[in-house]
Amino acid sequence: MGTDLHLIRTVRREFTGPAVLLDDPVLRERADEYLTDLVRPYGLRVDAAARGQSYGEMAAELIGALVPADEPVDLLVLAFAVHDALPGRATTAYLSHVCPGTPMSFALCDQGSAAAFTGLRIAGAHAYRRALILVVEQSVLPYDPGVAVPDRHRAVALLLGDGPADGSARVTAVRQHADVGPDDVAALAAAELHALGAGRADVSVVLGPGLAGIRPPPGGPVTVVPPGQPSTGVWWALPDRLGDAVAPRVVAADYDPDLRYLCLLAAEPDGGRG
Amino acid sequence: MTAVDAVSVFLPARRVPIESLAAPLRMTEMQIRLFRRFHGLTEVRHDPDLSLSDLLRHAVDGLTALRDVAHRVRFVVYARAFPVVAPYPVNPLHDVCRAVGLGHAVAFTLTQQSCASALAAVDVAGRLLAAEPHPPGDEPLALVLTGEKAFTRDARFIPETSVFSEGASACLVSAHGRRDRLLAYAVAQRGEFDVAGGASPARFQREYRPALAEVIGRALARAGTTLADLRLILPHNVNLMTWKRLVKLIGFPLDRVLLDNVTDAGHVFCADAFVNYRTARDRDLLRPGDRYLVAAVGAGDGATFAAMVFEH
Repeated sequence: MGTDLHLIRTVRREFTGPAVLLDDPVLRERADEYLTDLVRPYGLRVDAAARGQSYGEMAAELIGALVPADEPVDLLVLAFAVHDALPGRATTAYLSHVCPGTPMSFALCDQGSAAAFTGLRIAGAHAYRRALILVVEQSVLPYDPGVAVPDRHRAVALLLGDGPADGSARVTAVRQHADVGPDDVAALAAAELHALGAGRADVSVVLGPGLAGIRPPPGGPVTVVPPGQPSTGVWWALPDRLGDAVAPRVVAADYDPDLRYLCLLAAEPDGGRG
Repeated sequence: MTAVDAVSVFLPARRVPIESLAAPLRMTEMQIRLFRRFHGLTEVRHDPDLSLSDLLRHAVDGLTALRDVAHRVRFVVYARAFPVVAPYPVNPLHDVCRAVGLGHAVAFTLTQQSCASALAAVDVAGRLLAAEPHPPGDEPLALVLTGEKAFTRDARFIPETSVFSEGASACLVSAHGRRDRLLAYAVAQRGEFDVAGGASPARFQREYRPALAEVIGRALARAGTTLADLRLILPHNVNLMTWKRLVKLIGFPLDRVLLDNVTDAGHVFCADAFVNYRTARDRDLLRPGDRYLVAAVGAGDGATFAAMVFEH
């Protein structure tokens, strides 16, 4: 990483109901036409009654809760795997508008659960004071994707800084391995977890749903994120572990079995604890 | 310093006169006349027999410089104007990466800056590479891809402004290359023009050219250069009129803006910069040491104005 990454604060939210913007008949018609044309070549049909959430609405609420006006953000990254109910919208341009600092913003996708880790790597490669990673997933697609979709609309926002702050945690490693096959992931994950400190009594381990079958080295507490929230699961659990009094260092890992990415993150409290 | 090492472009051979778009896009005869006579947009590239993966694959296959260095590619960054181009979980990016022997690379799509996403992708690729540890002599590389199908009405035209052409590009990026070095990048995002932003389309039209002029000026200042030092501007191929008016605003000779592809290739989503770069190289318009500026505007819901200054 080029820049020090410090996790300053996080906020997480669950949302219910569809996107409010879909109440606008013009936007609704545009979205329906877009989605119909999107799925037609694949022999799928749009269910006009299925109304999903908007990542713009979800993320804007998180920004309001997490970023005070006097803490301007320089970089905003929206990470998602399942698209939202307004798939043609340049949502991050809007999020930049509602975020203090009017940050440079873009979305990362087509990478499954690895996208949020990529966002952290990009933040680490930038010179910035504050970066905001928004990890989002919503649960309603208006067609049958043939695979599971998330159980709920959930979002997690990670506010990062280039130096320590009250209660912050320093991100000491972000690692990504591409093209990891299902037969290889257990050994590689075990080796990486060990290399990042798993097995020590003061190190908590958070395993994403793709690594539920992995047995980390014995040591600190282990949280296995239940299935159902493939993109946000690890990030939802992370703040709880970072607040642990006995094992405040955390190693988090996730595996996307479809796109074959194994990703890991290590963090420890700033200020010499642990 | 981030550098562009090689670029390939693929445009479908099939040309479609814009008159044939009137019925499917519900455009009036007046709108078509506006595009042809006022904006210089006469035809687009559109081939229903080529899939998105086909477009990307053709662009990668055309990048001959990739063949000997594919093992050094650590990142594939797919810059896309439209955030979603296939139903979940279909993933043309990873399909193509595996098919061309780049399955080992970390691949992702960078989007939601509309057609300006390509410049952000080059910037991000360079930054990731600069932060990537590597043994001596094994400098990591990134591949920046663009490519889109005009698959729905929103992806086929921008009312009163432009029509989209299908096409793709592949661009090899390094952190310390010498071919085309990135001197500066400037970007401005205007989310007030989003559907939830509240600003009017009329205001967007008024502020479009001043906003683009501002990022151009900022990129030049960051590069420590001036318009007078530029050999070329490689524009976005939105239309001719926008650029005729913009060069008047900023005081730059129109004949040093490479506008031929507006008519010949059309607005190829995020690929415009690379289409125009390829034309400049093929016509030998860039000499060693020449500085040039690449401009892009992503305008849809929300707007992104971006400019990069390179030294060839």
